[in-house]
Amino acid sequence: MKYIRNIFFLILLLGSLNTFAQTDNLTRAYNSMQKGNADSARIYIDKAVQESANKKDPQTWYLRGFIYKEEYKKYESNNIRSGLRDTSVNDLFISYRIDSSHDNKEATFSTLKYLAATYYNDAASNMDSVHFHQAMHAYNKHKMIMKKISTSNFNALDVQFYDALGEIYSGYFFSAPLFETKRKFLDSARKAYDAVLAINPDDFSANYGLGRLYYNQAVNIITNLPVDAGIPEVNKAQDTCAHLARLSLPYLDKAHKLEPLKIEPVKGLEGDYYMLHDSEKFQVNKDLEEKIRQQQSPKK
Amino acid sequence: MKKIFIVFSFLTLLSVSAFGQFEQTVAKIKVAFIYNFTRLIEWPPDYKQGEFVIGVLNGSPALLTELNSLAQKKIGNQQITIKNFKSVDEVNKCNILFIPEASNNMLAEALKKIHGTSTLLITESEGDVKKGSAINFIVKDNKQAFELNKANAEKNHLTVSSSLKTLAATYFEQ
Repeated sequence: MKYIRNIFFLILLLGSLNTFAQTDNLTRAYNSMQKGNADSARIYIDKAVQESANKKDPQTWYLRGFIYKEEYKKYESNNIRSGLRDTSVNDLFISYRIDSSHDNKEATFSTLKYLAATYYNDAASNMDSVHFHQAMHAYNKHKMIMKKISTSNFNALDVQFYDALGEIYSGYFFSAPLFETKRKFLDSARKAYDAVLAINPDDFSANYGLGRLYYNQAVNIITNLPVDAGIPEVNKAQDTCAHLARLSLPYLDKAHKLEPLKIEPVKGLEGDYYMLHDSEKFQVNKDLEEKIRQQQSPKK
Repeated sequence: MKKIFIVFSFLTLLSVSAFGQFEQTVAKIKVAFIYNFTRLIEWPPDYKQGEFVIGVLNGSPALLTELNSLAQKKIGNQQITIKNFKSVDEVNKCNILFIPEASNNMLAEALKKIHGTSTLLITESEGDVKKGSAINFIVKDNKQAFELNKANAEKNHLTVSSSLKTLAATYFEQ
């Protein structure tokens, strides 16, 4: 339906141009598009937008945006950093901005929504440990467009996105061989999970993810301690370890409250209290772990 | 627009718990302390020959793993050897004997066994430093720390460096 509407809009524009029987670059661009020759249309429209008569014409910019969208579909639909797509979006926004009557609004927004969807799909399909920077780029583009053309609430989507990003950075944190590198990925993961918790403080994944990161960094501090470290160095490592265990506790506690039957947060609490030498609370959580295991085991 | 952002945790995929190793961390701290004691306490000449033996009474797997990491090291010319004794009867000449809290019921027997030797006795139960132990691990401010009883060390002909005294959480002359 949207496609038909876009075509209808183009026909209207074409009709108005034919009325004046123009043979300038703009008309040539329309004519080329009508013949399905987007490559040729692109050459003419690039010239047309340079002409002073067209610079403030919303229809010219809409046509350019439309042509670049077609070119994107033809040549760069697999390129997440497609310049053709970016140009199309940019031109469509220019068209909307200078179109005081907003006559083109529906067609412009329809095309922008299509492009926003392509960014979204690129973000989703690139959300993995190798391409996640591309995914972030595409997701931000999607949001930028949708925020301008709709009143969509991105909270639910942001939670999903940043949870996934936190998990990717956590994966790098766990697999990084060097302590300094781990610290860097911990920081990136923390920022992603913080973004989730700013929207939804009761998000299990973010609470669990943060508690798990701090716990494991505490373990790493001690694991990386040279066995011949002097006592002052050992004490300094213990201070850092205790600090991280304390940071971990409220997140794992929250994760446990959110998902009381999950064992992992309870195991994390056990570990935190063990590292803090709090044998009483360690035992409480160890007993709780056992209780959960019994509840989960099949009844005989 | 149907896709959603899903990333499977690689820990989940590998079925690995994210919360292991906590016993190892505490054991490692104790072992780091024990290694420091070897450098800040001096043994008499007859204990500076042969292997430098660190014995433990029923050490936990985590503790033994960490202690075994010392086995590559030397104290002076002495190669460190780790021995895990199942009972006090098994205890023979060692430079250090560590009695973990779970084996503390063997303290009195162990004290008799090492009487007159130059074994540094390390424990980790409240009050042990007043029962004959030279060094007793304690927890202070959520951290592993230790008490030092100079007299108990000197009874076994061990010389305690002044710096170890300052590093102890509690120091007893007698």
